[in-house]
This record gives sequence, structure tokens and C-alpha cells, in this order.
Amino acid sequence: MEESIKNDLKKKIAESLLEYDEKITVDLIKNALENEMETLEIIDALSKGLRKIGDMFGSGEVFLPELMMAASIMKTCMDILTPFISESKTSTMLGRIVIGTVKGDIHDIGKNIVRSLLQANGFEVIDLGVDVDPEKFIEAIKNYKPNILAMSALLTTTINEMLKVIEMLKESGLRNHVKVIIGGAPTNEEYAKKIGADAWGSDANDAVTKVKMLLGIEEEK
Amino acid sequence: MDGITISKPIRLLDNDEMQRIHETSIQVLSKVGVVYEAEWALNILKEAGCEVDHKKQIAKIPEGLIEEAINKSQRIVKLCGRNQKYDLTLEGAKAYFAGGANAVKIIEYKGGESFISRPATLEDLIKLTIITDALENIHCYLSPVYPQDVIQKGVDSVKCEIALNYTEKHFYHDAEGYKGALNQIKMASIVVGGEDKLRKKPIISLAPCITSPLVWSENALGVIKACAEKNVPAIISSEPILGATAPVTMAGLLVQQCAEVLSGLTLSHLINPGTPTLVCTLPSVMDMHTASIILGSVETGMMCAASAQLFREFYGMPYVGVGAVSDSKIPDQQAGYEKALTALYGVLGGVNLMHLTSGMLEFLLSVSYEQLIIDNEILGMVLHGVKKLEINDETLALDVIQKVGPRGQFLEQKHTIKYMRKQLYLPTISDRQSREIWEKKGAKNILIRAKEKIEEILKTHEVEPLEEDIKKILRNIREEAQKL
Repeated sequence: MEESIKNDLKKKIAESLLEYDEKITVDLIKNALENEMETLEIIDALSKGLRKIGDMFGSGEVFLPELMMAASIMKTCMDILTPFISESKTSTMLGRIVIGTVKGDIHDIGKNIVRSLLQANGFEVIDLGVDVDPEKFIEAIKNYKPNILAMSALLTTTINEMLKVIEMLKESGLRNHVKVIIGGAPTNEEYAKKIGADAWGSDANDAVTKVKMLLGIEEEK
Repeated sequence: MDGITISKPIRLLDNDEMQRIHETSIQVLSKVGVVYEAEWALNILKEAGCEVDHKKQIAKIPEGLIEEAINKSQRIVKLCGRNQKYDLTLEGAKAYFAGGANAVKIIEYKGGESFISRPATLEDLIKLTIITDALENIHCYLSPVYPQDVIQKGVDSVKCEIALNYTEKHFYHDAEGYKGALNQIKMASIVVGGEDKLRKKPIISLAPCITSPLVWSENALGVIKACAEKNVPAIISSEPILGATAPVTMAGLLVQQCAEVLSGLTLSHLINPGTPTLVCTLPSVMDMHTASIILGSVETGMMCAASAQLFREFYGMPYVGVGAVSDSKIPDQQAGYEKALTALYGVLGGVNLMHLTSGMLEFLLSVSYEQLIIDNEILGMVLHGVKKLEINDETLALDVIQKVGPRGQFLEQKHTIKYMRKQLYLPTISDRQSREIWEKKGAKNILIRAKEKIEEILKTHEVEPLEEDIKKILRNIREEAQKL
């Protein structure tokens, strides 16, 4: 593939995320694969696009539903691209995060917002969904070896699930391998400390800031 | 620029009530009469059939003449901007906003709870003009301040020069009599390329104002004459004060202001039948305790809504009213609610061009930069808030409700992305963050946020400059007008 055509396609992939149309972006990455573009380069183009949207979200030009839609398109694309890549795939990412809403809680808006923002900031996010069993969290940490575990809850009746997960991490000797951040309406800084989490995010933006702090990543400004 | 058309303006008057107001106005004009402080005007009126008392300078106008003037008044009035995208069409119940005018003081925000009041300067005028040009919810420009640091003779030409240089929007001005009006018309025609072009593209309109009750000064008559001769839109204005220069009853005020603007229209259309005219009223209230004149009262909103109905439904002409005004001395809560209330009331009534809407405080004496920014937001919310709801298959959203289903959420739907910008008003300086984030960002009050916005606009906003030789001609005309 000629360099100029390749650059053009990469640009198109990045910009296509702003169309918020899954088909457009997916067609473009399939086209790139067919033309034997390096998978990592495709991911890089997508990440650039998503980061741009993240920046535009920060400045108020892009709204939450757009950011979330772009992140979800990114996820679809990653599912397509994953079979083509080797272990080195996360080399372009800032870090890996496992996220989920705790058992008994099926609220996912807040968690999805945090996921989207993290992705837009260049993190690889593995989303376990809602109503996640403590065992499932532990298993994911064993499998994916993330830098961060992020848990969310909306109901006051479910927040103690977070404590359960942290206790299980300790029991399985994984607590020192992963930083834990929690968030959601009923949580607060004090509660995070009490259950032994490493950080608390007051909202989605704050969650990203705290994650960066935990990983020692300087905030751009 | 597209105004917002109110689908069902509120009606404060029944048909027969409007008829009675009109009939009483006719009685005032034909029995009491109106003072015209210029012989030439009295002569024109006499020749047309008015009963004139030259000694008292009073003309009593017969009903037929008034009907003629009403018939000759335009139903639709187009006002143009130097830039075509700012052209306005005043008709029906379509609403636009025009900025504040002729304040003499600036309220400066000094942080915390501290404000100072100081005279307005030429520098303020230029800055406020640039800011007004940038604000998306102010569709038409008036000179926000009357600069106190320039030679006061010919100051109308100073304001005209600033308007021509620093805004691309339509501007509407007062003028110092016949000569002052001609001067401003000349300046505007130079910018558009001649008087003929100005007729097709009226970037300026002038506002002759009667002195209530029932006196046309020589100055105001001169402005009527200049507009009619040059086919420049004349905004025939009346500014009665409830209980002071007009009866204390709102019905009585409506009668008097109708008589007043009709007396101006009559003269305009006798000088030049069919000349572009608009009617404007600014009904204020005298506080019966303190004798101060107040504008931010709910009565102003009521009277503007009633006037809008009367002029739209009964007379069939566009109406310039007032709103988003306040008597507060600083940009505070009182300013917020008075402005929101008077703006919403008038627009719901169908005011076509609401003027004095932005930056003004302390009746009409002061301008606050911060308030100007806040008002732009209030006006945006009002414009959005009076839109007709869009009802169709797509907005009824059965498909997306079905797709999301119970327990789902709508945030991540294409439907949401497609409609969110249209359906929701997106504020520019209102704070909607969580307390934690707000505190982290410095816990800024609205005045500080508005101040930041002002700095950003002054740093980034560009007004298309006039050509150098045109600028020079304008400067010469202005200097000539200011010679003592």
C-alpha cells in the first residue's frame, strides 16, 4: 500500500468516528485490513479519532451520547481487529482497565460514561457489564491482568458488593497487582477509604483524573 | 437570521376590547389632538384635513386620515445587516431581540460582592459593540452606551460611525433632529454604496420618539421627515410612563400610546405614502412610593404583550417592544428574574423586535458587561422555550422506545445523537456541573464566568472591517458633525 494512500485511509478512519455511524467506520477498517494495513496502525488511527472526540467532549463541542457512541464503535472495531493482532497490541494504550457494575445492580449509564471517557483518553477498557458476580471480577483480573479495577454501583443496597470484591482480591493474593477505583451515587471518598479502595471518582471526569493519578500519568493541560 | 415564530401568542385582549381601545385612541386624536412643534408639520397636516391651532401647535386628526396611515403601513418590514446573514423579516408573531441603548454608566464588577459605577466611555462603546456583534441571540444592534468622554455635539454621528465599523448587524438609532438623521443616513448609504442601495438594503433605521403625553418635538419630527424622504425605516416610538406621563390604568396607557404612534404614522405617510415604518412602545411604570421610573416590573411585560397583540391582530403591523429589562443596580438575582420574566412575557405575546434586552440595568441608565453575557443566555433560553413542539413519527419515538425496551437507556441511541442539539437548549455560561467539579474549577460565580467569556470574545471575535477609504469618509463626516 502506498504511503500517501495509507495515510489518507488512516485519516479517514480517525475522522469517521465523528460520523457516529458504526457501518461507515467498520467498512473503512475492513477496507484497511483487505489492503493489508498493519492492525496496530488501524488501532492507532481509531485511537487518534477517539482521543479527538474526547478532547472535543472536554471543550463542550461533543456531547455524552456522541462520546459513548464513538466508544461503542471503537469497541466493535476492536472485536473485529483482535484476531489479527499479537500480544503487543496494548503497546499504544496507556493502560488496561477492567470495569463493571457490581452484583445486584443493573444500572449501566454511569459505568458506560466512565468507560467511554477512559477509552477516549487512550485506555484499553474491558467491560464486564452489569450485575457482575465478585467471582467474575476476580477471574477477569486473573485473565486480563489489568492495571486498574473499576467498580460502580447506583443502589445503596449493593455497594457492599465492592467490599466483597476487595476482600476476595486479598484472599486470592491479587490485591497488590491491581489498583481499585470505585464510583457511583451512593459512594464517597470516606467509603472508598473504609473498604480499602485506592481511589474514588466523584464523576466520570474525576474518575479519569484519578485513574491517571493512580498510574502516575501526567494530565495534559 | 431566523427569528422564532410563536405558534400561539398569548392574548390579553378580546376582539371587542381591541376595538374599544382603537376607538378611544381615535377620540384622543380627533378631539384632544397632538402637539407638533414644527410649522412645516402642522402645514402638511392642515392641508390633509386636520384641524390645526397654530398658536398651540395642536393638530386634531380626523379618523379617515388615521385609517389611511394604517392602510399604508407595511405588514412586513425587512431590516438588513451589513452582512446579509443578519437580515431580519419582521412579520406575524416572529420574535427577534435587539440590544440595549444609550446607557450613561458602566457597572464594573470588581470581584466578590464589589461593584463600581462609572461614566461610560468611547472605549466601552467600541468593546460593547464588538461583544454584541458576537452574541448569537441578539439579532439587532443599538448603541449600548452614550459615550461621556467625547464632544457631545454630533454624538449621534459618533455612535453611527462605531456601529458601521464594529457590527455587521442591523442597527437602530436615535438622531439629533433632521440634520443628524440625514447625516447618519448618509453615512450608512456610503457603506452600502449609495442611497438607492440603502433603500433596498436598509442597514440603519431611526427611531423618532414622541414626548408623552402627545407632543412631537421639533427634533423628533425632523427624524420622521428625514426617514420618509429617504425611505429609511422609521421606528415611530412612544415611551409612556404608567401613572406619570400616561394614565395609571393599563388600558388608558394602551389608548394613549396607540394615539401617539398613530399620530406619527399619519405624518410619515403624508410626507411619503408607504414609507417603511414600524411602531415601538416602551411602557414603564412610576413607582407610587418613590416616584422613580421602573421598567423591570411585570406590568411592562403585560403591556408589551397586549401591545403586540393589538398591533399584530388589529392594526396588522410589526411591533417593537421592550423586555429583558431590570431596575436592579447590579447584575444580581433581581436582574435575573426581572429580565427573564419581562422577556418571556413579551415574546409569548408576540413582540416582533424586543429592544433594550441586553446589558442594561438600573432602569436604562447603566450597562454591565457581565449582564450582557448573562442576558444573551436568558434570551437564548426564551427563544428556545417558545418554540413549537415538533410532533411526528420520529419525534414520537416509538421505534427507539421499542429498541431500548424496559430497563434500557437512551443515552447511547442514534436517535439521541440526532435530536439532542435541536431539542435541548445548550447554555454557554450556566453552571450544570457537580459541586465537586465546580469547586475544583475554582467555584466561580456567574459573574466571573461571564467575565471570562467577555475576554474570550474580545480576543477572538472579528468584525469584517470596512474598506480604508470608506472608513476615512465616515470619519470626515463625523468630525464635521462634531465641530463646535
